[in-house]
Parts: sequence; C-alpha cells; structure tokens
Amino acid sequence: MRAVVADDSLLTREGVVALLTSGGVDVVGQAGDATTLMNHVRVYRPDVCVVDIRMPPTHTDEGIVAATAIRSEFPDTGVLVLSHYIESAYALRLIQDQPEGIGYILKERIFSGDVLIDSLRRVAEAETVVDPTIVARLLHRRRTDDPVQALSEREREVLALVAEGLTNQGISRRLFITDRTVEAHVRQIFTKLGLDESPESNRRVLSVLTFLRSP
Amino acid sequence: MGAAVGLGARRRAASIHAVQIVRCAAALAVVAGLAWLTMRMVAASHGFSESGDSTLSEVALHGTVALLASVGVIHRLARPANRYGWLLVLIAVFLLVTEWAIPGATAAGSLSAAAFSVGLLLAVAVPVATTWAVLAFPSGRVERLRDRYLLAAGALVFVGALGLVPALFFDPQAQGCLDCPINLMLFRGDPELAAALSRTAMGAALVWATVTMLELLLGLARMSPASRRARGAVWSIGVLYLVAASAQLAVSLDRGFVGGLTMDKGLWWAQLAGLAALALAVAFSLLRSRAMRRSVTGLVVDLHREAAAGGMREALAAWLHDPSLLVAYPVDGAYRDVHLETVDVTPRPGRATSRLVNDGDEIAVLVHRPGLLDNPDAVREVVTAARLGLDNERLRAEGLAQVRALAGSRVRIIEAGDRERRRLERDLHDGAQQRLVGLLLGLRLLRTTSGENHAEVDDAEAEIQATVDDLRELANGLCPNVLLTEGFAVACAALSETMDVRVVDAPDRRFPAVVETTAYLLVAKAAAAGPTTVYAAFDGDALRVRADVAQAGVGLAGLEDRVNALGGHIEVLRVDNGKRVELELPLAAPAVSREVIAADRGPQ
Repeated sequence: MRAVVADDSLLTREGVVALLTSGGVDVVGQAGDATTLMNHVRVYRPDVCVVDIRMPPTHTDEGIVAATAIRSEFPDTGVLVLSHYIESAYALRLIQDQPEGIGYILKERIFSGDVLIDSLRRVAEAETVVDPTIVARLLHRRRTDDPVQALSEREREVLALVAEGLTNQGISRRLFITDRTVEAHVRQIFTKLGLDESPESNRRVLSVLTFLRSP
Repeated sequence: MGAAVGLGARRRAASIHAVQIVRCAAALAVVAGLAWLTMRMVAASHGFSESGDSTLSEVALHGTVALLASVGVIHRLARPANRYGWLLVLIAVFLLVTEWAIPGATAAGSLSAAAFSVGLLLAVAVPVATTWAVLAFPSGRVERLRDRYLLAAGALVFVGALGLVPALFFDPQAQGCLDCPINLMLFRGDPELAAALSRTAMGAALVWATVTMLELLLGLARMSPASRRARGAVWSIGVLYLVAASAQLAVSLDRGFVGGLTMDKGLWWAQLAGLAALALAVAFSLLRSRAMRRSVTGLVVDLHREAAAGGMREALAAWLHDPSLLVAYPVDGAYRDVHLETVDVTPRPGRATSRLVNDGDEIAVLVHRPGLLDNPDAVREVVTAARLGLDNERLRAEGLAQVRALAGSRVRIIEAGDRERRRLERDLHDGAQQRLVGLLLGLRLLRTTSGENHAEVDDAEAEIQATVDDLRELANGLCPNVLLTEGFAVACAALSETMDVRVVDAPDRRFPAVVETTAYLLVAKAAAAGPTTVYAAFDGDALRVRADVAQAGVGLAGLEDRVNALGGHIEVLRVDNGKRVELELPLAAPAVSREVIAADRGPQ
C-alpha cells in the first residue's frame, strides 16, 4: 500500500510516517500544506493519503477541502483525515459527496493499537471510516421522541458500528456473530428508525449519520 | 465654489459703521442742498423748467429725488459692503441737474455759470445712470464686460455727444436768452451746427436705448427663475423707463434738443414714475430679504426647540425656493448632511455650490440651482439668518459622527477580543497539543521498538491522553473551530452532541463572525447553566435567538455589553420551569465584520 502523508507539524508527520513504515506501508511522499499534498497525489498516485485537517494558510479546514478535491479528482485514492476535533459536521461534510474511500478519525487515536493501519486499509478498500467518539456522541444526544431509545442494546451496538462505516462482515467479526444475524439486526434497526435500507454499506453510513444529527 | 462671504466682513463693517453714517448724512445733506438750489432756480424761471409749470410736477420731481436718495442711503446702511445705494443717490442728483440749464440758474449766485453749464452737460444723463442702476442690481457691480461697454457707450452718447458736443456751439445769449448765465463750455456760437450735432447724437442715443432695451429683455428671458425673482422687477422697470426715455428722444428729434417747453409732458411723468418705481423696487427687495431673514431666524428658534434634524435644509429650501437644495456640513474631512450621508459638493452643470463662512470658518456648503446665490449679499443674508441653525445642525452631525465612531470602536474592540480568542485557540492547537501528540507518538514508537509492555508507560500515555482531552475542551471553549468554518447552526448542533442542548431551529446560513460568536456564546452559556432548548431565526435584518433554560439562574455576564455594542437587544424572562433568554442581533450595525471574516479565513 502506497501512501502520502500531509501534516504541517513536522513532529506528528514524522511519527505518522514511522508508524506507517513499521506497519508495512510504503510512504511515497510527505507534505506540509494542501498544495504540496495535491502535487504529490498527482505525481505519485498513492493508494491512500493521511491528511491533517488544519494546515496553512488559515489552519481551519484545509484538510477537508483537500480531501474532497482528491476524492473527486482521483477516485482510486482513499483519504484518511486526522483531526484534533470531534466534529460530526466535518465527518458529514467529508462523506456526503462520496462516502466511499474516506475516513475521519481523531488524531491521538492512531497511537493505540493498529487503528491507523486498520483505518487506512479500510479507506484504501473504498470503505468509510468514522471515529467511534463521534458516533458515541451522536447516539447520546438528547432528542424528542427519540426512536434510538426503542432499539435493543445489541441493535444500538450494531447501529454504532454501521455509523462507524463497518461493513456487515466487519460488524460480524467485531461482535462475533454471523453475517446473517447482522443483516437481520440492520434491517430491524432501519425499520425502527424509519430509514430506507440501502444495501450498500457506504450509503447507509450517510443516512445513519444524518439521522443521528437531526434535531 | 461660489462666493465666499461671511460674517467676518460684516463685523469689520460694524466698526466703520459710524463713518458710513456720516457719509450717508453728508450725501443726504448734499442732495437736500442741491434740491433747495434747484427749487430756487425753478422759482426764478418757471416757464423754462420742466417741473416748474405746476406745483404738482414740482412736488413729484422733488418727491422722486427724495425717494431715490433715501432708498439709496438706507440701502447703503443696510448693506455696508454693497455700494449700490450710491447709484440711486447719483440718479437723484442727475434728476435735479436736468433742471439747471434754465435762465433761473442765476439763482445759484456766483456758481450760476457753473450750474448752468453742468445742467447743459448732464441734461440727459439720467437714462445712463438708470441703466447702470438696473444692470448693477443688486450687487452694486456690473459683472459682465459687455454690460460695462454698453454703459461706457451710453455715457459717451448721452453725456459726450448729447451734452458736451452741442454745448460747445451753444451760446445762450446769442440765442436770445439774455438772462441766462454764461455757458462755460462755449467754443463758438453756431446754433445750426449745435442743432445738427444734437440731432445726430439723439439718433445715436435712440440706437443705444434700443440696444439696451433688447439687452434687458433678452436678459429677462434668459434669467433663471431664482434670478428673475430677485431682479425681474428692477429689470422690467428699467425697460419701461427706457421706453419712455426713447419716446422722448424720438419726439425731440425734429427740434434738435431734448427738453424744453414743448416736450410731451406725459413722457416726462412716465420717466419720473419709472424712477420712483425703481426706488420702490429696491426698497421692496430690502424689506423682503429682511422678512425672509426674520422667518428663517424664527425657524432657527423653532428648530432649537423641536430639535428636528434636517430642518435647516427644509427651511432654506423653502426660503430660497429650491426644493432640491442640499445643506452639507464639513464633518471629519468630508461634506455630509445631518444624517452623515456624504454630499457631492463639486459644482457641475445645473448645480451650483456656495460656501457659508463665518469668521473664516466654513460652517456649511449649500448645493443649489445656479443663479440662486450668485451675489455675495444673498450668501451673507443666509449666513446672518441661518448661522445659529446651521451651527446647531453641524454640531449635531459632528456629535452623531462621534457616536458612530465610538460604536464602531466598541464593535472593533469586541472583534479584536474574538480574534484574540481564535489566536489563542490556534496557538494551543499548534503548540501544546501538537507537542503532546508528538509525545504520545514517541511513547508508541518506543513501545513498538522495545517490544515490551511497561505499566509506567501505559500510565504516562493515559495521563498525556487526558491532558490532550483537557486542552481540546479548553480550546473548544475559547472558540470552536467548527463555528469559524461551518457557522452558528452547525456549531450549536456540535454543542448538542456533548451538552444537554436541543436545537429546534437554526438558520443554516453564515452571518458576520461577531454575530455568530455572540449568538453561540449565548447558547454555550445557557447550556452551561442547564438543559437548553434553542430556537433561532433570521428575518432578513436580525438574527433572533431564544434559549429556554430549565434552570433558575443563567450567568450572562459580559454578554449584555457585547450585545449592546452590536446594537442588539437581550432580555432574560422568567418562565414556568426556568429562564428564557431572548436575543436580537442586527446584521447591519457591525459593518466591519465581513472584512473580519475574510481576514480570519485568510486567502484561499
């Protein structure tokens, strides 16, 4: 797997590169800002990019802008956005145009276990990755007539994993249950929440997140 | 700029007022003396005089002289900087002199020859002096060069050709007037030549009078309405007078000399009436401007009482009969009206400007129809009458400008504070947070390379992770990044993910940064107090936010000042199970905010 890393902080960038290299990922380019990142992507055509959300010049949302640009210009390149913020708005902004091959995770999460490598692999395989913290927050929001309350404990667990972007296979592996059971749970959840079930796992991330964020 | 005349000149005039009075008294005394002399001359030879054939005509002549002289003197005193009054006194003197070329001039005693000769010389000087008085009305100056040439030509024809040249060949004694005083100008007695020359001169005088009448009529037709209101009467009287004078010249053409017993008495009366009318018209113009000044001064008093901004424009527009008139005050190095709108004071076709100056200080500039204030008197009139009111409005405009500047600086201070919060958040993110993340990374790599598990390292990692979380909360509290990039509605939604906030409605659009921050601060402070429900709406002018907090006390310290500075309104109401905070923030007041957004987001 070939990757380009973009982060304006040299310390973090080198650390990420070291983590990736030790995980067997071939880091073909490093960038400190969005423009360099785009140039690297054009030249190296990597499988994935790891992009910090805040980069020069304004240090606000350059990473998101760059991620959207890469996804529309190079559909074969997945993008994993790293953020200091737990913002569902940013996650939704990233996945609402094309949910495939995009991920949004908290920066410090990459240092525990194999989260970075796992997330990268999923993004490279055109899956969607949403940070569990965001999903947890959204699930615990206070809402009027909350249909989420009508879900069983297991169903809520499945819903969270759906929102994190996992496929049915991924969910079944995580929960040690069969694919068929996961399918049944998902169908049940979508019915209870009043959502149209989309067979495609990426699209259902968007509809679940949108539902969870609605007031 | 038009004429710049002000009260400074008027004050200086006040100090020489005494001299002015003495001069005017002297002028009146001279006219009275000459009138007395004229009466004696006429009494000595009734038959030869034009006024002497009846008491009525004599009274009329002297009455007209007195009228001209007194209106002239009054004008002189009322308008110290304007010499127009002297012209009327001159006409009065010339009118008396027309009576002197008679045998009765002997009544002047030792001066009889001189008086008789002056009478011959200036026998028909009145029409030229009258034309002068018409063309110079009301400023006292003849501005146009061709009018000056016209007057010079008139003087040459009426005094030179018609007065002096025939007199050179007129020997009164040889003509049979043995009682007459000597003609001091006599060169050679030749009655035939004198009559021929006189006839030629009369022809020239008729041509001149016709040209002048045409000139006046043309001027009347071309005058702007404002000018016509000011000068129309005097010019019309001038035309009528010249018609009578020309008619007299025409009927005298056969005789070879003007005046005398056989002349048409009706024309003489007509000319006298014309001159009296001229004096009355000038007197009326003085009275009218005085009345107008009074009415504007009265308005100034009213304005002071009612304190209505913009009243001076209305008053001056009504006074000067120009509804489109604009009053501009010098405020902050620009010309502005009472509402601080910039006024274009560059003169252009169809619009003239006049500076109103008081003691060298510009108090206002009027933008008006051309021809309205093209003489210094009119400008001075406005300054005298409206100075208080104009000063009042100018000070009001300056005060308003200061208040606006102050309001602007309050908003800028708040915006600077917001910028500082964002900068702090950024520094925290790019500094401490990055370093801690780097540290976490180092520990992770250490663990990977050593391949062993240490409980101490795990504790350190957990500690650092907690610190990173704390810092994130702190930075988010300073200024959430999502507020900056996504706006108020999204920032509120984000708040609802971590706190007990329910956003029922929020406009999904961007507002000026300072407005978004203020509205967000309200929601954040309410959420900090207790479970909060937020309703926000935008009505095109203002963002309205209602936050219902299920808690008795809501701390909104600092928010009131912020809202006031932005020209908004905040109110805390007690509701059934807690407090309701209502916030209204206009978008118009902080005009600088759009630039702030651009500056914060930087070039993209």
